[in-house]
Amino acid sequence: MVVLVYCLILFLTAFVVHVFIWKVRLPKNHSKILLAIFLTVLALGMAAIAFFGKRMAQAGIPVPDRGNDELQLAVCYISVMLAYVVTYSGIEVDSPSLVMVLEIHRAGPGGLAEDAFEKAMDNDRLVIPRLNDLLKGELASLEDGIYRLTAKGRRIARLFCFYRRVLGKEHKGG
Amino acid sequence: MGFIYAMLPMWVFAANVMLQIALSRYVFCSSLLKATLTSFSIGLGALLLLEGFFFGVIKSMVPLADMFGYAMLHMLTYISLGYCYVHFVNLGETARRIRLMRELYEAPGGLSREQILSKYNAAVILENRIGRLLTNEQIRREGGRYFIQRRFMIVTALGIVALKKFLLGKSSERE
Repeated sequence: MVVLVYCLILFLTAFVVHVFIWKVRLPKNHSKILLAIFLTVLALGMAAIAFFGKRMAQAGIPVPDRGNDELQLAVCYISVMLAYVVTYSGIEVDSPSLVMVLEIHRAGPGGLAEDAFEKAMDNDRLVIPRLNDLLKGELASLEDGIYRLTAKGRRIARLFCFYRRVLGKEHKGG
Repeated sequence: MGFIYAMLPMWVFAANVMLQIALSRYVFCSSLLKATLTSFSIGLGALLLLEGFFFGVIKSMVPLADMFGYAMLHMLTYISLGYCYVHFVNLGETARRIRLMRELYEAPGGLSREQILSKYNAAVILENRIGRLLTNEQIRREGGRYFIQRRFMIVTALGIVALKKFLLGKSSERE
Protein backbone atom coordinates (compact mmCIF):
# COMPACT_ATOMS: atom_id res chain seq x y z
CA MET A 1 0.00 0.00 0.00
CA VAL A 2 2.96 2.30 0.77
CA VAL A 3 4.20 2.26 -2.84
CA LEU A 4 0.74 3.10 -4.20
CA VAL A 5 0.35 5.99 -1.74
CA TYR A 6 3.80 7.40 -2.62
CA CYS A 7 3.03 7.09 -6.33
CA LEU A 8 -0.24 9.01 -5.92
CA ILE A 9 1.39 11.68 -3.73
CA LEU A 10 4.17 12.25 -6.30
CA PHE A 11 1.69 12.37 -9.20
CA LEU A 12 -0.59 14.82 -7.38
CA THR A 13 2.40 17.00 -6.48
CA ALA A 14 3.48 17.12 -10.14
CA PHE A 15 -0.11 17.83 -11.24
CA VAL A 16 -0.43 20.74 -8.80
CA VAL A 17 2.91 22.21 -10.00
CA HIS A 18 1.74 21.81 -13.62
CA VAL A 19 -1.62 23.54 -12.97
CA PHE A 20 0.12 26.34 -11.04
CA ILE A 21 2.57 27.01 -13.93
CA TRP A 22 -0.25 26.85 -16.49
CA LYS A 23 -2.32 29.37 -14.51
CA VAL A 24 0.65 31.76 -14.21
CA ARG A 25 1.70 31.53 -17.84
CA LEU A 26 1.06 29.00 -20.63
CA PRO A 27 4.40 27.60 -21.87
CA LYS A 28 5.26 27.51 -25.58
CA ASN A 29 5.90 23.79 -25.82
CA HIS A 30 3.29 22.21 -23.57
CA SER A 31 4.33 18.54 -23.88
CA LYS A 32 8.05 19.15 -23.27
CA ILE A 33 7.38 21.25 -20.15
CA LEU A 34 4.83 18.73 -18.86
CA LEU A 35 7.36 15.89 -19.18
CA ALA A 36 10.03 18.04 -17.53
CA ILE A 37 7.74 18.82 -14.55
CA PHE A 38 6.65 15.21 -14.01
CA LEU A 39 10.16 13.74 -14.39
CA THR A 40 11.68 16.38 -12.07
CA VAL A 41 9.10 15.59 -9.36
CA LEU A 42 9.83 11.85 -9.75
CA ALA A 43 13.60 12.41 -9.53
CA LEU A 44 13.23 14.65 -6.45
CA GLY A 45 10.82 12.18 -4.82
CA MET A 46 13.12 9.22 -5.41
CA ALA A 47 16.11 11.22 -4.14
CA ALA A 48 14.15 12.20 -1.00
CA ILE A 49 13.25 8.55 -0.34
CA ALA A 50 16.91 7.54 -0.83
CA PHE A 51 18.31 10.27 1.47
CA PHE A 52 15.63 10.51 4.17
CA GLY A 53 14.13 7.00 3.95
CA LYS A 54 15.99 5.66 6.98
CA ARG A 55 15.17 8.66 9.17
CA MET A 56 11.52 8.56 8.06
CA ALA A 57 11.32 4.83 8.89
CA GLN A 58 12.87 5.50 12.33
CA ALA A 59 10.22 8.18 12.91
CA GLY A 60 7.52 5.62 12.12
CA ILE A 61 6.68 6.94 8.63
CA PRO A 62 6.32 4.04 6.18
CA VAL A 63 8.63 4.23 3.14
CA PRO A 64 8.98 1.97 0.09
CA ASP A 65 11.73 -0.65 0.33
CA ARG A 66 14.87 -0.30 -1.80
CA GLY A 67 14.98 -2.30 -5.04
CA ASN A 68 11.72 -3.74 -6.37
CA ASP A 69 9.45 -1.32 -4.48
CA GLU A 70 11.27 1.70 -5.91
CA LEU A 71 11.20 0.09 -9.35
CA GLN A 72 7.43 -0.46 -9.11
CA LEU A 73 6.95 3.09 -7.91
CA ALA A 74 8.91 4.50 -10.88
CA VAL A 75 7.20 2.22 -13.43
CA CYS A 76 3.70 3.06 -12.16
CA TYR A 77 4.43 6.79 -11.94
CA ILE A 78 5.90 6.89 -15.48
CA SER A 79 2.91 4.91 -16.86
CA VAL A 80 0.39 7.29 -15.28
CA MET A 81 2.50 10.28 -16.40
CA LEU A 82 2.51 9.06 -20.02
CA ALA A 83 -1.25 8.44 -19.86
CA TYR A 84 -1.74 12.02 -18.66
CA VAL A 85 0.59 13.45 -21.34
CA VAL A 86 -1.25 11.63 -24.16
CA THR A 87 -4.58 12.80 -22.72
CA TYR A 88 -3.20 16.32 -22.59
CA SER A 89 -2.35 16.19 -26.32
CA GLY A 90 -6.08 15.59 -26.91
CA ILE A 91 -6.87 18.63 -24.78
CA GLU A 92 -4.44 20.85 -26.69
CA VAL A 93 -5.85 20.11 -30.15
CA ASP A 94 -9.53 19.75 -31.15
CA SER A 95 -10.27 16.22 -32.32
CA PRO A 96 -12.68 16.32 -35.30
CA SER A 97 -14.42 13.13 -34.07
CA LEU A 98 -15.10 14.65 -30.65
CA VAL A 99 -16.27 17.92 -32.25
CA MET A 100 -18.63 15.92 -34.50
CA VAL A 101 -20.04 13.93 -31.58
CA LEU A 102 -20.56 17.14 -29.58
CA GLU A 103 -22.35 18.75 -32.54
CA ILE A 104 -24.71 15.76 -32.84
CA HIS A 105 -25.27 15.84 -29.06
CA ARG A 106 -26.04 19.57 -29.14
CA ALA A 107 -28.53 19.07 -31.99
CA GLY A 108 -30.76 17.21 -29.50
CA PRO A 109 -33.30 14.43 -30.05
CA GLY A 110 -34.06 15.56 -33.63
CA GLY A 111 -30.51 14.64 -34.72
CA LEU A 112 -28.16 16.55 -37.01
CA ALA A 113 -28.53 16.86 -40.79
CA GLU A 114 -25.96 14.89 -42.82
CA ASP A 115 -24.66 17.96 -44.65
CA ALA A 116 -24.14 20.02 -41.46
CA PHE A 117 -20.50 18.91 -41.12
CA GLU A 118 -19.61 19.65 -44.74
CA LYS A 119 -20.52 23.32 -44.22
CA ALA A 120 -18.71 23.70 -40.88
CA MET A 121 -15.55 21.67 -41.49
CA ASP A 122 -13.28 22.74 -44.33
CA ASN A 123 -9.55 22.49 -45.10
CA ASP A 124 -8.84 25.74 -43.25
CA ARG A 125 -10.22 24.21 -40.07
CA LEU A 126 -9.13 20.57 -40.42
CA VAL A 127 -5.93 20.40 -42.48
CA ILE A 128 -4.05 23.70 -42.64
CA PRO A 129 -3.58 24.09 -38.82
CA ARG A 130 -2.08 20.57 -38.66
CA LEU A 131 0.27 21.35 -41.58
CA ASN A 132 1.38 24.45 -39.67
CA ASP A 133 1.89 22.25 -36.57
CA LEU A 134 4.33 20.08 -38.57
CA LEU A 135 6.35 23.18 -39.43
CA LYS A 136 6.20 24.50 -35.84
CA GLY A 137 7.30 21.14 -34.42
CA GLU A 138 10.15 20.96 -36.97
CA LEU A 139 8.71 17.72 -38.36
CA ALA A 140 8.50 19.26 -41.85
CA SER A 141 10.04 22.18 -43.69
CA LEU A 142 8.57 24.50 -46.33
CA GLU A 143 10.82 25.70 -49.14
CA ASP A 144 9.64 27.24 -52.42
CA GLY A 145 6.09 26.14 -51.64
CA ILE A 146 7.11 22.49 -51.18
CA TYR A 147 6.61 20.65 -47.87
CA ARG A 148 9.28 18.05 -47.01
CA LEU A 149 9.76 15.94 -43.89
CA THR A 150 12.76 16.72 -41.71
CA ALA A 151 14.93 13.85 -40.38
CA LYS A 152 12.86 13.87 -37.15
CA GLY A 153 9.62 13.79 -39.17
CA ARG A 154 10.89 10.89 -41.32
CA ARG A 155 11.73 8.85 -38.19
CA ILE A 156 8.24 9.31 -36.76
CA ALA A 157 6.53 8.65 -40.12
CA ARG A 158 8.63 5.47 -40.58
CA LEU A 159 7.58 4.21 -37.13
CA PHE A 160 3.87 4.66 -37.83
CA CYS A 161 4.14 3.22 -41.38
CA PHE A 162 5.89 0.16 -39.91
CA TYR A 163 3.35 -0.31 -37.12
CA ARG A 164 0.40 -0.01 -39.48
CA ARG A 165 1.94 -2.78 -41.59
CA VAL A 166 2.35 -4.90 -38.43
CA LEU A 167 -1.36 -4.39 -37.67
CA GLY A 168 -2.22 -5.34 -41.25
CA LYS A 169 -3.79 -1.97 -42.06
CA GLU A 170 -3.89 -1.26 -45.79
CA HIS A 171 -6.15 1.81 -45.99
CA LYS A 172 -4.63 5.19 -45.18
CA GLY A 173 -6.77 6.27 -42.21
CA GLY A 174 -6.57 9.82 -40.91
CA MET B 1 8.97 -9.42 -3.44
CA GLY B 2 10.50 -10.88 -6.58
CA PHE B 3 11.35 -9.07 -9.76
CA ILE B 4 8.89 -11.19 -11.77
CA TYR B 5 5.99 -10.12 -9.52
CA ALA B 6 7.19 -6.51 -9.40
CA MET B 7 7.10 -6.32 -13.20
CA LEU B 8 3.82 -8.25 -13.59
CA PRO B 9 1.91 -5.42 -15.33
CA MET B 10 4.75 -5.09 -17.89
CA TRP B 11 4.62 -8.78 -18.81
CA VAL B 12 0.83 -8.70 -19.11
CA PHE B 13 1.02 -5.49 -21.13
CA ALA B 14 3.53 -7.10 -23.55
CA ALA B 15 1.17 -10.07 -23.97
CA ASN B 16 -1.72 -7.63 -24.54
CA VAL B 17 0.21 -5.93 -27.38
CA MET B 18 0.94 -9.27 -29.07
CA LEU B 19 -2.69 -10.37 -28.71
CA GLN B 20 -3.91 -7.04 -30.10
CA ILE B 21 -1.69 -7.43 -33.18
CA ALA B 22 -3.01 -10.97 -33.78
CA LEU B 23 -6.64 -9.88 -33.27
CA SER B 24 -6.38 -6.87 -35.57
CA ARG B 25 -4.68 -8.96 -38.29
CA TYR B 26 -6.83 -12.07 -38.16
CA VAL B 27 -10.09 -11.52 -36.22
CA PHE B 28 -11.29 -7.90 -36.13
CA CYS B 29 -9.80 -6.84 -39.47
CA SER B 30 -12.28 -3.97 -39.98
CA SER B 31 -12.30 -2.53 -36.44
CA LEU B 32 -9.04 -1.64 -34.75
CA LEU B 33 -11.01 -0.39 -31.75
CA LYS B 34 -12.65 -3.81 -31.16
CA ALA B 35 -9.28 -5.58 -31.42
CA THR B 36 -7.65 -3.12 -29.02
CA LEU B 37 -10.46 -3.15 -26.43
CA THR B 38 -10.79 -6.94 -26.55
CA SER B 39 -7.06 -7.56 -26.01
CA PHE B 40 -7.00 -4.91 -23.25
CA SER B 41 -9.93 -6.57 -21.43
CA ILE B 42 -8.40 -10.05 -21.73
CA GLY B 43 -5.11 -8.65 -20.36
CA LEU B 44 -6.92 -7.05 -17.42
CA GLY B 45 -8.63 -10.35 -16.61
CA ALA B 46 -5.29 -12.19 -16.86
CA LEU B 47 -3.66 -9.65 -14.54
CA LEU B 48 -6.40 -10.17 -11.92
CA LEU B 49 -5.95 -13.96 -12.12
CA LEU B 50 -2.17 -13.64 -11.78
CA GLU B 51 -2.56 -11.31 -8.79
CA GLY B 52 -4.73 -13.99 -7.20
CA PHE B 53 -2.12 -16.65 -7.99
CA PHE B 54 0.73 -14.61 -6.48
CA PHE B 55 -1.47 -13.79 -3.49
CA GLY B 56 -1.77 -17.52 -2.86
CA VAL B 57 2.01 -18.01 -3.15
CA ILE B 58 3.24 -15.12 -0.98
CA LYS B 59 0.32 -14.49 1.41
CA SER B 60 2.33 -15.79 4.34
CA MET B 61 5.14 -13.26 3.67
CA VAL B 62 3.20 -10.02 2.93
CA PRO B 63 0.36 -8.40 4.97
CA LEU B 64 -3.06 -8.35 3.31
CA ALA B 65 -3.15 -4.53 3.04
CA ASP B 66 0.19 -4.56 1.18
CA MET B 67 -1.01 -7.30 -1.18
CA PHE B 68 -4.06 -5.18 -1.96
CA GLY B 69 -1.82 -2.13 -2.46
CA TYR B 70 0.46 -3.98 -4.89
CA ALA B 71 -2.55 -5.31 -6.81
CA MET B 72 -3.96 -1.78 -7.13
CA LEU B 73 -0.55 -0.45 -8.17
CA HIS B 74 -0.29 -3.13 -10.86
CA MET B 75 -3.81 -2.45 -12.12
CA LEU B 76 -3.07 1.28 -12.32
CA THR B 77 0.18 0.59 -14.21
CA TYR B 78 -1.47 -1.83 -16.64
CA ILE B 79 -4.49 0.43 -17.29
CA SER B 80 -2.20 3.43 -17.88
CA LEU B 81 0.07 1.50 -20.26
CA GLY B 82 -2.95 0.04 -22.06
CA TYR B 83 -4.43 3.51 -22.40
CA CYS B 84 -1.14 4.83 -23.86
CA TYR B 85 -1.06 1.92 -26.32
CA VAL B 86 -4.67 2.57 -27.42
CA HIS B 87 -3.63 6.17 -27.98
CA PHE B 88 -0.54 5.15 -29.98
CA VAL B 89 -2.55 2.80 -32.23
CA ASN B 90 -5.25 5.44 -32.57
CA LEU B 91 -2.67 8.07 -33.56
CA GLY B 92 -1.49 5.92 -36.46
CA GLU B 93 -5.09 5.35 -37.50
CA THR B 94 -6.77 8.72 -37.00
CA ALA B 95 -4.31 11.58 -36.31
CA ARG B 96 -4.24 14.18 -39.05
CA ARG B 97 -0.61 15.11 -38.41
CA ILE B 98 0.48 11.48 -38.73
CA ARG B 99 -1.54 11.02 -41.94
CA LEU B 100 0.05 14.20 -43.39
CA MET B 101 3.51 12.95 -42.39
CA ARG B 102 2.83 9.60 -44.06
CA GLU B 103 1.78 11.37 -47.28
CA LEU B 104 5.03 13.39 -47.20
CA TYR B 105 7.05 10.26 -46.34
CA GLU B 106 5.73 8.56 -49.48
CA ALA B 107 6.81 11.56 -51.59
CA PRO B 108 10.57 11.98 -51.00
CA GLY B 109 10.68 15.02 -53.31
CA GLY B 110 8.06 16.77 -51.18
CA LEU B 111 4.53 17.98 -51.95
CA SER B 112 2.96 21.38 -52.53
CA ARG B 113 -0.05 22.41 -50.44
CA GLU B 114 -2.35 21.72 -53.42
CA GLN B 115 -0.89 18.23 -53.90
CA ILE B 116 -1.32 17.48 -50.20
CA LEU B 117 -4.93 18.69 -50.26
CA SER B 118 -5.68 16.59 -53.35
CA LYS B 119 -4.63 13.48 -51.37
CA TYR B 120 -5.93 14.42 -47.93
CA ASN B 121 -8.58 17.03 -47.34
CA ALA B 122 -11.62 17.90 -45.21
CA ALA B 123 -13.90 15.65 -47.30
CA VAL B 124 -11.62 12.62 -46.73
CA ILE B 125 -11.37 13.41 -43.01
CA LEU B 126 -15.15 13.66 -42.65
CA GLU B 127 -15.74 10.46 -44.61
CA ASN B 128 -13.16 8.51 -42.54
CA ARG B 129 -14.42 9.79 -39.21
CA ILE B 130 -18.11 9.36 -39.90
CA GLY B 131 -17.31 5.86 -41.19
CA ARG B 132 -15.46 5.00 -37.96
CA LEU B 133 -18.15 6.48 -35.70
CA LEU B 134 -20.81 4.45 -37.57
CA THR B 135 -18.72 1.22 -37.64
CA ASN B 136 -17.99 1.49 -33.92
CA GLU B 137 -21.69 2.27 -33.29
CA GLN B 138 -20.96 5.56 -31.54
CA ILE B 139 -23.50 7.28 -33.83
CA ARG B 140 -26.27 6.07 -36.17
CA ARG B 141 -27.69 7.49 -39.43
CA GLU B 142 -31.46 7.60 -39.94
CA GLY B 143 -33.42 9.51 -42.58
CA GLY B 144 -30.45 11.68 -43.57
CA ARG B 145 -29.70 12.67 -39.97
CA TYR B 146 -27.11 11.60 -37.38
CA PHE B 147 -28.01 10.54 -33.83
CA ILE B 148 -25.91 9.59 -30.79
CA GLN B 149 -25.90 5.82 -30.34
CA ARG B 150 -23.70 5.39 -27.26
CA ARG B 151 -23.06 7.78 -24.38
CA PHE B 152 -19.36 6.89 -24.02
CA MET B 153 -18.12 9.36 -26.65
CA ILE B 154 -20.30 12.15 -25.21
CA VAL B 155 -18.93 11.60 -21.72
CA THR B 156 -15.36 11.59 -23.13
CA ALA B 157 -15.97 14.71 -25.23
CA LEU B 158 -17.53 16.63 -22.32
CA GLY B 159 -14.67 15.56 -20.04
CA ILE B 160 -12.09 16.80 -22.56
CA VAL B 161 -13.94 20.14 -22.93
CA ALA B 162 -14.06 20.55 -19.12
CA LEU B 163 -10.30 19.87 -18.82
CA LYS B 164 -9.60 22.24 -21.72
CA LYS B 165 -11.56 25.02 -19.96
CA PHE B 166 -9.81 24.33 -16.64
CA LEU B 167 -6.24 24.15 -17.97
CA LEU B 168 -6.26 26.38 -21.04
CA GLY B 169 -9.17 28.70 -20.21
CA LYS B 170 -10.97 27.95 -23.51
CA SER B 171 -13.20 25.18 -24.84
CA SER B 172 -11.75 25.00 -28.38
CA GLU B 173 -8.44 25.74 -30.08
CA ARG B 174 -10.33 28.13 -32.38
CA GLU B 175 -11.32 30.46 -29.51
